[in-house]
Amino acid sequence: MPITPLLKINQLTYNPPKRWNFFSPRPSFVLGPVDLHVHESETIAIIGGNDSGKSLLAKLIGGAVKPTSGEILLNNQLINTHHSKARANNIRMVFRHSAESLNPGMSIGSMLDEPLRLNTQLSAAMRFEKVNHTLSLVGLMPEHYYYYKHKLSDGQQQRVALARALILDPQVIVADEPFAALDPSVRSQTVNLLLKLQAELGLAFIFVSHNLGIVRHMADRTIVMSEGQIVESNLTQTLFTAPEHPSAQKLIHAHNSLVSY
Amino acid sequence: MPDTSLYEEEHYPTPLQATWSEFRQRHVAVAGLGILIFFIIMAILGPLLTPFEPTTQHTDAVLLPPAWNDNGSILHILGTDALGRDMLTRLFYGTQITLFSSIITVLVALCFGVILGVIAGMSAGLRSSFINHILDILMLTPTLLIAIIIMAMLGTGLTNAMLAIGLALIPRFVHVTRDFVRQEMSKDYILTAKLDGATSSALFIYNILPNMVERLIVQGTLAISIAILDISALGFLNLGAQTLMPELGVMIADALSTAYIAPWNILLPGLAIFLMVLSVNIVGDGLRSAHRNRMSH
Repeated sequence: MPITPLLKINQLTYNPPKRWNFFSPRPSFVLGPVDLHVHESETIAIIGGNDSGKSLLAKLIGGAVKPTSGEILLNNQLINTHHSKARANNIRMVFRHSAESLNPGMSIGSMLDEPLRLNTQLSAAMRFEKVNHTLSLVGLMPEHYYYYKHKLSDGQQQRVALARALILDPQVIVADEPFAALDPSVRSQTVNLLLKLQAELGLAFIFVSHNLGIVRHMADRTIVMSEGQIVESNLTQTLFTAPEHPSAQKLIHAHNSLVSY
Repeated sequence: MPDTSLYEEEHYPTPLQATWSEFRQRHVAVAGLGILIFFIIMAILGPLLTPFEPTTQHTDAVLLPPAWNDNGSILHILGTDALGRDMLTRLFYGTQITLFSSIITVLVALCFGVILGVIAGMSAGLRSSFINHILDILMLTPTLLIAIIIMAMLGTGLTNAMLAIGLALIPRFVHVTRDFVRQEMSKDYILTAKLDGATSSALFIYNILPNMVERLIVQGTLAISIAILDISALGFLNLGAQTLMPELGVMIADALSTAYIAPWNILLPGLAIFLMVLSVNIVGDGLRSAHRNRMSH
């Protein structure tokens, strides 16, 4: 049992900034306060209904959105809540697969080269070596270095997104519905790839998903969110057999009734 | 040990090569490129080939018809104008002045327009909408009209004409750039790059610019054809290049008084303008679809 968790999130909250909008005052959505501990090589799934703040929480951890208050500690060290090298190197984000998740105007190689160029002092030859290594890690060929996005299939594109997250040897990967837009066979390929990489590299993996089958298959712990709050957090097996909170019960029962047929 | 890199030998076309191989598929575009290259070569080499100066007046050969006419002379292949100046020589110099001044004008306008557009696109709020709306108003008015107003303030001359047309063209580029940058900035791949710590300028140069090339080509070629027409129009109106300069618009204006006796003096520079504009448009269209096809398969 590790003494200190790898990633510790204390009292993280997010209030959307007030927009001056005369005609339609927005209903304000508040997230948190959220507490979360993540250990090394642990997989945590975040589930919940629509508008429960799952993706927002992932984005807050990944640094894509600046939190209003609260702190994120990595290895007991406070990391800057926005744009810092420590974050870029250690907590990497994978977005849900879409037409816009990869840049159509850059070759895969230069896309993977970018994080290295910005965050490391490696020479061009070493970066090339590293990119090739990461490509083979996610099951792509060295020749994909020269390919553009439009030449790759959806599954390959998601592998590239994963490679982009892996290339800086991070400790935590945060993924916002990484499997949502993939067809079943590609999806299981990606899931297996992730499990394999996790076993090899010892990453902590936090992901948001609607697919409870995958959650049950992958996650060590599952977090249920509802209306911006973590309402239940438990080991996946326990949660799936005996959910406590009403919204967790609703999700699990809906899933079980589908699976049993 | 067996060679494991079986596929390494394969050739991967660079984006430029891929665009060229797509471009070659369209015969019309290649023909247009041929015409454009012909004009560019003519503009560069023409002055070296011709034995005359564009301003030399041959008093013994005034209003000579082209060489294939019975009254023509092989010395002046395309004839002479009312002052006895060799038409072919003047066409060489005219193409040089009109084509190159339009290309320079457009390149300068493009640089300024893109920079302004990026500033407008990447910043939010008042600054962005101020730049955009002011320039939108300018875009509503025809470039020639704006150019004439600017000329009224700056005075006549080719440099001033280029300046005026350049200023009038900038809003087009600002608009295209701003719209595109705005649209791109909200996409996920920009967010990923931002999380990697890319600065705004690196974000633009590495991530947005490669995707913007297609739009810039379209606007750029459109702007070159507008610039060619406007520079010769200003020359024709005696606001741009002045009478002594062999600019194509000026040549047409000069030949107007002898239009019935020597129609070739109007026809030839007009034809040159027409072919230049046509070929620039065809090449631009070909480049755009080549670029799009490269991205799609």
